[in-house]
Amino acid sequence: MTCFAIGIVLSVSASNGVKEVNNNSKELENPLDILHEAIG
Amino acid sequence: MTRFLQNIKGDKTVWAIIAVLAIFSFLPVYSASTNLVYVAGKGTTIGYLLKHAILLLLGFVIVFATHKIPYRYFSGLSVLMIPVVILLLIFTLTQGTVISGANASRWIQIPFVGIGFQTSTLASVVLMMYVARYMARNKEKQIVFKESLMYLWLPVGLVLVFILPANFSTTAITFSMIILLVFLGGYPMKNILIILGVGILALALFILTVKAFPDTLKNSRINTWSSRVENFISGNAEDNYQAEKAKIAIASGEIYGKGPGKSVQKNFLPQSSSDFIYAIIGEEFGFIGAISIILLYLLLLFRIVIIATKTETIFGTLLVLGVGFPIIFQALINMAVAVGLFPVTGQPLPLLSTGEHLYG
Repeated sequence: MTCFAIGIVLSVSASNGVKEVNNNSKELENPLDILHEAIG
Repeated sequence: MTRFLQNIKGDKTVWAIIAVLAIFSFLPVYSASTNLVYVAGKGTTIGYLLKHAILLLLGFVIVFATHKIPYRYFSGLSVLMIPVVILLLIFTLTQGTVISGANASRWIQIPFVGIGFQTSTLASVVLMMYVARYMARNKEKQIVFKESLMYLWLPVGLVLVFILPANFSTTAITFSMIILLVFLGGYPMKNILIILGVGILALALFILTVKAFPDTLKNSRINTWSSRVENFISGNAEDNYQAEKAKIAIASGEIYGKGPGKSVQKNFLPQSSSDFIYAIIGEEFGFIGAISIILLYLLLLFRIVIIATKTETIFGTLLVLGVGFPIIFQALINMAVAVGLFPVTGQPLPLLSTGEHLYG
């Protein structure tokens, strides 16, 4: 799981400094949002 | 190739550190594999090298795929994953297998792939994500202790209870990291002390129960880790076989080391390619090699803190610290075990040890 953890760290760092469409600024509050987003 | 590299995002220093550690890992892993081939009589050195290369490739795929996921997804994902990891942990406790002769029911076999998977480490990462989510959502609110017992500590306690019987060190590391994370997230100090007290009390109760009724938890590793602590305190060389061999390996490496592949202790040191890889690095690459590894982990810690401070959301900050700190903490514990500062824990050296430890 070290790789998974490193991947998460890199995911956060990838979003830093991305100003134009920073969707990361809002976390998904509801776990079901993930399913909704995945479905479209 | 250029197109592929353009797809790699995120902190370049972190990428560089994991690349350096991954490439470097071939040297001690290849060297230590001779122990398995010529002493234990299992497999071939090329076979172990190939296996290591495949696992590294698999590790890279996991890192790459995970880093492409926007991190906000990990908030909701943690809630979905909590029941899944609890089921996996129960399954592991009842069905877990023994890996590389290690007496630990921590692993389950992934069907068709034939690779062992340590569920407690997945549970640990999911817990960190969950705690980061809870603290971020309650950052602006006055945390009510009774409410946090239900929504924070109940899931945390449930997961830890199922990790504990087979893997004490992972439980202890995860619990310590959670305490650190809730502290950083602004959880009231008084409540942290209460939770710490409850945690210690629950552990004591668990140990007494297993000692009193040894047949209730046959897979429990309590006797293993209680004897490790007792041996560490007593300092008896015969009882501390692994620790003594590790110390001899590091001491004989001196300043510049014996050179790649020239370790002698790898032939006597069990788990020399996984849990005690740092001792082999010390013997073959000397003080300079051993210090360089520590510096790489400290650089990784530094970058984790930098990423955390640059992140725009509280969830992002806590998430990075929550999943990043345990890597460094685990590395420091592994190295402390190898140099005899800590009792034997069975924790591998992240990003360097071979086998399923690379991703499990």
